[in-house]
Amino acid sequence: MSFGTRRVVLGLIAMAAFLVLFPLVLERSGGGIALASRILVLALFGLGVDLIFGFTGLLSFGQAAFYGLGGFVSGFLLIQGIVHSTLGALAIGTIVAALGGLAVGALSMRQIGVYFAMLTLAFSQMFYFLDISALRNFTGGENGLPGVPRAQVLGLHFTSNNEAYVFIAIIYFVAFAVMWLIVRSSFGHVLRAILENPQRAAAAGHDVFRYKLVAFTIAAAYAGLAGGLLGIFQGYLPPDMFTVDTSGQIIVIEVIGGPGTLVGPLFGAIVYIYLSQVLQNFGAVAGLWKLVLGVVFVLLITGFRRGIAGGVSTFWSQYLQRSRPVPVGNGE
Amino acid sequence: MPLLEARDLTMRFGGLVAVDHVSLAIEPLTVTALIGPNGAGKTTFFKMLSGELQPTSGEVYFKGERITHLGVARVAQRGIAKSFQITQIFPKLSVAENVLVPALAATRGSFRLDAFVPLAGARGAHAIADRVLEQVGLLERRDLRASSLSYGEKRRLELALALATEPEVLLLDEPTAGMSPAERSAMVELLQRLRERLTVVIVEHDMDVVFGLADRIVVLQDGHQIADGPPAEIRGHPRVQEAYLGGVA
Repeated sequence: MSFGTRRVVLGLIAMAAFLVLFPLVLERSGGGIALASRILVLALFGLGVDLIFGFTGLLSFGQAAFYGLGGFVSGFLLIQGIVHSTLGALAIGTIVAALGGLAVGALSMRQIGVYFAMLTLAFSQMFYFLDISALRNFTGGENGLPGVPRAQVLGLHFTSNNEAYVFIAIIYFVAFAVMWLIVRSSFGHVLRAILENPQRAAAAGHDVFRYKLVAFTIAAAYAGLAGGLLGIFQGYLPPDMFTVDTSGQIIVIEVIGGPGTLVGPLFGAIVYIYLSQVLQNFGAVAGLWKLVLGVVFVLLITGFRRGIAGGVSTFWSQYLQRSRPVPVGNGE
Repeated sequence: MPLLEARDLTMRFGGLVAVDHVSLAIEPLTVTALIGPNGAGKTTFFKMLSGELQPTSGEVYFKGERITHLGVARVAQRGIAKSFQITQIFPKLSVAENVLVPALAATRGSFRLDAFVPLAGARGAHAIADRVLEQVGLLERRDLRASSLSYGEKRRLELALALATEPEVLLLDEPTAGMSPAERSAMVELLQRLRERLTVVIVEHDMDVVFGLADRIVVLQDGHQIADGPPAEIRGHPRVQEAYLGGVA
């Protein structure tokens, strides 16, 4: 086994172990397993954001559109009984979200930087208004969609909160492994080149537009899958899935977690969700919880240049260097 | 038939005419130097050849096909590569990872969705990267971050990024600018080796480099072509001496 393959295998084992231990630790520190599920849904949503922002350099303020689209499509199909299979409904929701991403991406990607970000924001606002007004007979408008059934796969029912966590954790694990494959591929290498220097990537002969568009489509698929999972786990699809607030939240999670690391959004979601929960129940500051959260984010962003994941990896490599025997008389 | 041909190229930026009706036919396996004072239009002319800029009027032909409006990526795919005047590398990637970027374009084309095939398995691209790093003398530096290279090494990496696209025509925009004399002679030696299998067009201010390498020299001034010929002829050309060489040569 090559060094690279061994690293991936060890990484996936560590991730599996984490997913098993995570709810146990969380329960001891005052969160429930439902909180763990919520964190994994956002971490999954964030994997797509990491692909476009952390690996390709595209800042989108419109990811909520695909999160909501995937959620409402798969939720609607299940509630109406049009599709009975949970995985089937999730797959359709994911594909519809991906097609939405492809369309929005194709229309926005000719612009770069802040103009691209503004276009994605405008498109997601359009989706939001479709959700609460034009399509309200399907989406429940401002009331959202209640009654999404819990997961059922091959006769297995994931009904309790614990079972729902298992279902979400398995999907997150597979999605994480797939994303890792993507960023380690030749395709992923071209994305990193685009992040570093898009002009040079084009001059080397790469069709930068198409690479960015495909990355954006994959990110939309991840958002759609995460949205579908949220509906199944909550049993309810809130209209605020489509809001700018949701798009902003996932960017904050990506940035504090550590862009370009894949595990960053998981760290970011843990900090974001856990802190929001704890602070809201913390007597003295309960009313000011968003203010305190804001201060914590400022400290995290100024303190760690590449988010929590970047901070951890810097600390780790320094620790490794210190514990390694120093070679004598071979300085550079 | 010339390999690369510019027909009547004009580039206007607002009221400024940067390149004014310049035509140039490049024969295979030759070295053509483009000289002229600053602001003569050399870099703009280069950008039209490489597809970075679309000319206001005129056409560019490569192997008899019109490539004027293809854009830089497809021009690179056809076999024209440029090494930039201002180093354009991928600073946070390692030296090997840098060269893999154009090498992947050479082996995979302008787009491929091989998202589940590990980069480590892209043997063809790794072979190109190793060969090019060997050529420019950066093989021992392969695992260093590109941003940590010395200036001269970054210039060689810049050239490597152009070479790894496996071009037929190499456009060099001031490859030796800012180099120490030792680095410069190493670069000239490298270019002497490359000319045996590549067609080279070079913009350069160092006259030793120009007269040492070129088969043919084209002189631009204020967007106009004022002279074109073998080095010996250009050296004695009165208008060139007046406009550019300042009577030194």
